[in-house]
Amino acid sequence: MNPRFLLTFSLILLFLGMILPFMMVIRVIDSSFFLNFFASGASTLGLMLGMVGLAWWTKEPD
Amino acid sequence: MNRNLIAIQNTNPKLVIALELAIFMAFLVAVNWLVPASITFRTIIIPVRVPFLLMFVWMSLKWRRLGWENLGLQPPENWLNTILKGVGLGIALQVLTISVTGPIIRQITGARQDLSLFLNMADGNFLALLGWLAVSWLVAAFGEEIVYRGYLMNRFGDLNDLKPYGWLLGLFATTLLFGSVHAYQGINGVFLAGITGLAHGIIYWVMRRNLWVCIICHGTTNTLGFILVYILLQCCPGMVGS
Repeated sequence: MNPRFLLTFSLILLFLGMILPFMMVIRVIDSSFFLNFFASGASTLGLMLGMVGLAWWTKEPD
Repeated sequence: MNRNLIAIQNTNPKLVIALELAIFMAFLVAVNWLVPASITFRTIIIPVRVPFLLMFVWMSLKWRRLGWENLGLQPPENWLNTILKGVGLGIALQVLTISVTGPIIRQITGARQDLSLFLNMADGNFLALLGWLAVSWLVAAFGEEIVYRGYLMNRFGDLNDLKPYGWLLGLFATTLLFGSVHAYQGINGVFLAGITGLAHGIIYWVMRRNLWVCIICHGTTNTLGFILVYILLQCCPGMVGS
């Protein structure tokens, strides 16, 4: 694994964390406990992996 | 040495700041949509998320070998003066919201501020009021001011080499974000929060990045707002709601 992969993965998770609740609000998909929990977890994990990825990337040796 | 370059060895500092801002704002937007989307835990989403945001801010400061004082949390020279400024501005902002901006926005949007999230204060539930006041000071006043004014505005400034237009861009972005995060209060709440966010951003700037004034101002505004909602819920509940 490398920091670029981690950053890409975190951005995908954050995108999921944004798009799923948005689709629930505009009623494209029904809001459910599982989807809420999944969207919430995706955005939180995305933020944390983004933090780690960014720190790793900026410290990466030549 | 430029503080943005510290600890960044090989990568373009501006790209790092842009990515940092993108990750942070994506999380804020995700939280923003999750509140109206969620049925089961909408009341706890924002309070639970603030520690994650603060952790991110703390890590960002650590990378750059900075501390909380660099966001404007250094102890003020005169506490009494800072508290008086914060309380005075908070009262003025709440009076302005009730008497000027609120009615104008209600006239334009044709909607009332949706305060249904706070309906647990009905029937004289004083404990609920105390709970909301605690959340308001810890999460809204401290948390939001550190996140929006302390972190985001400064980071937008950094992205633009601390030039005035960078700060203006930061002010604009934080106003939009701060307004949109209050989407659970309806369109009226979004505009009102946006204007309040803009005012806090200007206060932060005018007070030479003294975050304490913003924190006290935000806390005072919210305290007055919650007390008003509590009183309205007891005497005329029809005035509170969507």
